[in-house]
Amino acid sequence: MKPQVKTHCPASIEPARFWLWVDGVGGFLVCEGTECTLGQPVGADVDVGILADISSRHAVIHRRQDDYMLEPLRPVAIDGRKLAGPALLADRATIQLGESVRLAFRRPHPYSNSACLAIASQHRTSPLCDGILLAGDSLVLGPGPRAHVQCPAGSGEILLYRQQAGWFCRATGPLEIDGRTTAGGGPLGFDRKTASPQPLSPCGRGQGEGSGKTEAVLRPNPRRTSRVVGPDFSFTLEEAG
Amino acid sequence: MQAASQIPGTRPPRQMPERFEYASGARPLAGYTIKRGIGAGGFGEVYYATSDGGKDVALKLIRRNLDVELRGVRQCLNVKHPHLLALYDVRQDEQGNSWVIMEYVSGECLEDVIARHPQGLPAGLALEWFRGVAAAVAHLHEHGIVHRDLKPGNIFCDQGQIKLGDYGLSKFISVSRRSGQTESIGTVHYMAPEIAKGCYGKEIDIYALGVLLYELLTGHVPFEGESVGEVLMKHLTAQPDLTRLAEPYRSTVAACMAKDPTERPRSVGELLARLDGVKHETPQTHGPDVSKPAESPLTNVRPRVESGVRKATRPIMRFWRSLTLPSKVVVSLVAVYSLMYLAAGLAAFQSEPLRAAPPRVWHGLFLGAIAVGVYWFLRPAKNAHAANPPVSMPAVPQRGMNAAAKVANLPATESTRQRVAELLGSLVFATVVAAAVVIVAAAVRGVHPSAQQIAWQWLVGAMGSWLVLVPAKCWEGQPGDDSRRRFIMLLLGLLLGLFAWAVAGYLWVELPYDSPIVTNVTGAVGREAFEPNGQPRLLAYLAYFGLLMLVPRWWMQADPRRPRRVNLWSTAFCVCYALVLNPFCAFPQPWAMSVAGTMSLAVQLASGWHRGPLKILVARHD
Repeated sequence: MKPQVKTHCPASIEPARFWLWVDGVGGFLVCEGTECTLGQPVGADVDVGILADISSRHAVIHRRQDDYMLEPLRPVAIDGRKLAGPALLADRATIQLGESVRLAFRRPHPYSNSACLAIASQHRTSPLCDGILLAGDSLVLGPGPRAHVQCPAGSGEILLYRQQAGWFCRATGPLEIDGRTTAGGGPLGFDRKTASPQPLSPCGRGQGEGSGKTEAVLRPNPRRTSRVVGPDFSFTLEEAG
Repeated sequence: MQAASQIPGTRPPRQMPERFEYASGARPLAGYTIKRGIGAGGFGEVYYATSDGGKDVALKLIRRNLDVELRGVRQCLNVKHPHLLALYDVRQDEQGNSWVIMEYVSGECLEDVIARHPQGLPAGLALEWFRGVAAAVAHLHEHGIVHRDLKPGNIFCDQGQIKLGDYGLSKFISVSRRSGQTESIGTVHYMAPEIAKGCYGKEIDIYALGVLLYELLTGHVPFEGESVGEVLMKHLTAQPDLTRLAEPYRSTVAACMAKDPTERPRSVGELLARLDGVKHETPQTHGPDVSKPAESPLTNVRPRVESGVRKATRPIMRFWRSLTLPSKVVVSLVAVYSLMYLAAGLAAFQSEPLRAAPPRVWHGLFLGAIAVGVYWFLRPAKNAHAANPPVSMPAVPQRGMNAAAKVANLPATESTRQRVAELLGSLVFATVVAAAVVIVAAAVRGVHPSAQQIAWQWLVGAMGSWLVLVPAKCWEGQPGDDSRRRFIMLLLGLLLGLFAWAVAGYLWVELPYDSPIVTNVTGAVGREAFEPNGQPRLLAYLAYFGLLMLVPRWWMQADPRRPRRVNLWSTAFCVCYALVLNPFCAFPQPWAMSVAGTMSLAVQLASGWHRGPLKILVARHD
């Protein structure tokens, strides 16, 4: 069987990934696209780089509406069965890449078409993350087994959802998004269609208009971020480099 | 400090994240970019950060007891051991805050591991953790450092390496317990009694190691209590209950937890020597099952029986999963066909003279053999099926009878009581709908059916919709395997056939071939399944209704997330399918078609229906 190699990421489109840094919980790499390439973090062509003895492009996960399909480019097994071609990923499937990398695939929330990937073997991603989120239309942060990002009990459920190109946040209580207080949610300043990159303020929160420009000059590669602070939680979205 | 790697499904950390002063992207220390807060306590805050060169570090901002903390850190700064979390540096930022730069561990904390094993870790695993921690403590002791805060929350496993953290820090115990800086009740569980007298020798680490060993093996600490005072009092006066531990663990823990520090093992090496020679397989408890006294022996047997059954059916399930949808249908048909022949043959054994029976039995066995042969023939080809992308592409299971009735994972938000209530409501409603549909259909048709025929259609249609609604409700919200569901539907179809046969017998109903489309066609199910006048026998009922339930995914018509409440195309499909079955089993029409249509409409009208996913979620937040 010949491995199928597809050009899945046109050069003009930047890789749709961002970091979700949840204070007290973990850092998560969110893949927004419908395709997510797994492999060694050597080239720029891989969405999730895993430091392991695997190929630079080892497998691709495709999302089609509510389904996830794993396309093997190199030896891949699901739940111990070797794949000879693309196969559907079911909730709680274990993906094995090469000899030793094992990934746990989860679809925790029944309403959301997003999925989670966690490394079950002794490997780590590069850059290091606590989990990979394959984002569909919505992500849920909260307590309970149905959340994509599990937060301590006490904090309510927080919903991140996207409309058009932008991400929105919704929660039960008052929220502070990028320094602005909102009642129950609103758009996140993190928008990859924004023409000029938003510079980071010293604390990362708020996009100060005045001082921002000097900051941007001082640091050549400012990444767009958006900070959300709630009564008992806080997290930051950061464009992945 | 806790670096919790959050895998969905695992327990969230108990500690509430507090407000962190620095957000992602902040650079309070030159050269390091903060990514997120890890934890906060009385001492200050800990952040996960990366250096400009890409090194992962933990940054600890020391806010309280600055001098004491810094003295402790400086003492430990150059201590090296594979099981000790490395301290890289101590730095001051522009505002004069002190930061400790430490190794970042991304793995699980021992506290989480113990929480996953409420009855204690397996002895081998427990010893692995214990030996790692003990080696680190021994190294600290050799360098004149007492840890003073040994607890599972300070022990991590990063890529298989056990790491002990927080040494040289957290001197709050020595300052004063009364100053309100005791972080949590968790800490006092490992506190040696002489701490009350102000003694902080390395014996307190030995004591804590004893508590830790007890906790590793049993899943909980030896002294529990409602308050800090109660736990401390127990450490001072009470004797731990060690009956659940086997030797040599019992004597080792007893020695470590001696109230008098001088009676404890004098060094970690001496403590470890007591555990030497213990093989990992040795049960940590004496007797067969002392660690789980409350459980009945049955709980041990059940998994074994289950695993046996699973093992036996595994190759069959694997084979079944490897098949593509059309092959599944073919295999099911062959299997049902052969089973029916076998059943017919066996029935003939009882009812007819022996000489007539054997051919049918042989016929059935022959077909059974064909089914087995198909299994063996297809089995090696399973990879070939998987290698065929168009067949195994994700869209396929979603298409089929009606592309609109897309299955989606469904909410488990309702309680069982709610679900049962909803189900009972839809069962009653389905019965009413079935009656209405049958009566309307009878009125619309030119030929008026008899009362018995109407009653038969109603009862069978209602029962059919019940047999769809009940499993559909059970499967709601669960991503399921279509093939397994189909198999259950097949069994329910056989049940429906039995019911239809019994009702027909009870009502003395005649089901003539009234349809203008279908007249008496002899199907693949042979003549012996029908009376000479064309009336179906039990076998025909079983075959027909089994097949009727097998192929369409009936439960999808009860899916609350179907795009429309009633999709007439689904109903039309079911009716057509009921007709298409005729060449296989010449069940009198239009009676079976009418039952299929009744079932479809009753199921769709009576089952719950929600709208799209995001709206509900957002609505719940409102």
